[in-house]
Amino acid sequence: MGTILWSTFAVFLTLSIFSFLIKDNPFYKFAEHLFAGISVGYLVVITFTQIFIPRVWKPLMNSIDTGNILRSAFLIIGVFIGLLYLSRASNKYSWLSRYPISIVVGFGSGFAIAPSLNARVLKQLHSTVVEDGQSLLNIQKIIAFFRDPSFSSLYNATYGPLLVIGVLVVLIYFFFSFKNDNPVIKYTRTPALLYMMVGFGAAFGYTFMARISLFVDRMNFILNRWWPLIQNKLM
Amino acid sequence: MKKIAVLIIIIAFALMSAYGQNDSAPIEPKCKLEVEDVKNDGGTKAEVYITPQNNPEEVDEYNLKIFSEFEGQKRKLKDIKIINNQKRIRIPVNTDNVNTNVIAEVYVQQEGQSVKINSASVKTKGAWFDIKLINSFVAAIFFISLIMYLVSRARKGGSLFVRKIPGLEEIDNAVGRATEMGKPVFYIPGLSTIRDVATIASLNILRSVGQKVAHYATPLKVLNRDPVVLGVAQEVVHEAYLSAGRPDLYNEDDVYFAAGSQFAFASVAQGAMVREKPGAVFLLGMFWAESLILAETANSVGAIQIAGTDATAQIPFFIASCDYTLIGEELYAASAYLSRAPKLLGTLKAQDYFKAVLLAVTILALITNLIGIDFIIDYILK
Repeated sequence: MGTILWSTFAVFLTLSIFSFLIKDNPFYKFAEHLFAGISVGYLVVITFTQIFIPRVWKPLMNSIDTGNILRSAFLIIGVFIGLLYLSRASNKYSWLSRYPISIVVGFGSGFAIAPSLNARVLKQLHSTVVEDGQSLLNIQKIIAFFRDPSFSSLYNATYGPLLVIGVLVVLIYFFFSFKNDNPVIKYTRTPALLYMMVGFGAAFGYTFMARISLFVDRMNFILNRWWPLIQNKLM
Repeated sequence: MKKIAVLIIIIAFALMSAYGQNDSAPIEPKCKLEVEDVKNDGGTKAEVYITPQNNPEEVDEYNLKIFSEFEGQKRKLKDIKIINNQKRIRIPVNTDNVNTNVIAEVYVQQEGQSVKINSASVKTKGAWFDIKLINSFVAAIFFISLIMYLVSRARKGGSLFVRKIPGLEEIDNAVGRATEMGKPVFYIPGLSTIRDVATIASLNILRSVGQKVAHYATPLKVLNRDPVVLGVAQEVVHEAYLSAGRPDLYNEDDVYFAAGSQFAFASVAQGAMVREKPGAVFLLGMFWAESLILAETANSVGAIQIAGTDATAQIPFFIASCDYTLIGEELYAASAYLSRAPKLLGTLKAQDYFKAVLLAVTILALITNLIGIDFIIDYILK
């Protein structure tokens, strides 16, 4: 009976959310508030069980047990700075919350420099020059196409050069220091936009199909799991 | 004679069977086990190598158990069956803490029991400097030097040109439209944390939007998913109202926490949009699957929308459903473009010069790679 009850409630919530497509209504409001409330409660529990207990409480108790004063002090100072965040609730002392915020923002910005440069810039450019140890501007592949023209050899010959040209023109598109009538900007603008739109189009189609699969999953739940359950138990 | 022959045969069989028995003596399961600390890391990684030293017929599989031991607490990290193909196998190990003992133990099944045949351990150590990232370090120093030079030039009044970015030109119009219609402006600084570059860029734009909104005395609602971003957003909006000379209009409750989970946030945001019917909606920052839900809802209530993200998979949805979209790096450039502050303009210029250098290095790498010189890809762009 419990399974039917919870499954029916899940169906009710699914349909309540979908009812928003018609217009805002009390069912949607109920589902929305329930969803938001549960997500906040869940976040609090997760933060407590997966961050506070294993990252703060247990190491602190261990450090106290083992007499590691430095580590204990480090953890207590961290907790104290974190607690300053709660001062936002007070008008008089809310300025104290700027300390944890500034530490987090400063650390976040600084920490992002090296990984961003490495993963988003240098590694990407490396892959623009070589892929799997082979140059993307591989003359041999172009010669191979002229020797034996076929779709596969055409793909192999053009894949690398097209990718290289794409990276270069799109990179130029994002120069902000030059006027739009600068010849380099002017003549690379359209190809860059073309490259980006082709990429975005592919991403759109791919993501759209992923969303459709989510919808199919919900419908599958209602029609193939919940409805047979109702039929078997109640009819 | 026959008796002697039979006797010889029996003796020969006995000898052969004795030899056979000697041949099937118990096999000693063996394997080489190495546990190594990963160099140049933060001090939490190790690598375990296991090399079987028996034939697969003798021992078909080994059981490798890996433990971490930190401050007296032992925890099992991995329990793996290693099929004996007589090859050296590498198993990467991640621990939670620096200076953790990583202990590897190898077991085999003998007479229905699991018997330990080898063990090894190492203590993970953190390195101050990852030598493999020296190119990133040099690039960062070069970039920071460029920023410092160009910021000081901007401060001295040097002319730093920035081309028009269409989406940003429309911020004034969007806020103006919302004001004329008597409707609020909604601003969502993405759903990511403060560590995300897009979130930081969005908060910079929020300041400019906040100043404009305060100037027109239009209500501004900022919906947040991350508690830290919420705190920063409240500070940013408060300062924007102060700098616009209208601190009286600032209401802390207008910059609020909507929900912690992605789709709960989306449902709250779209509910708020439908009920309050904003005149303008800004979706700037990092977005995931909720991007189209937010943009479509804003579109359905007739709001003018300015969106921007560096999430490549979400840009198409914004292009399809928003009035103006900032693509990728335009989002980062936006704050400098809007405020014209020397510090931000200098940074934007530095980005451009850095990109120019990278462009030149890439072209050079392509040319040198064609003639068989791999210095640039091996050492600079590695």
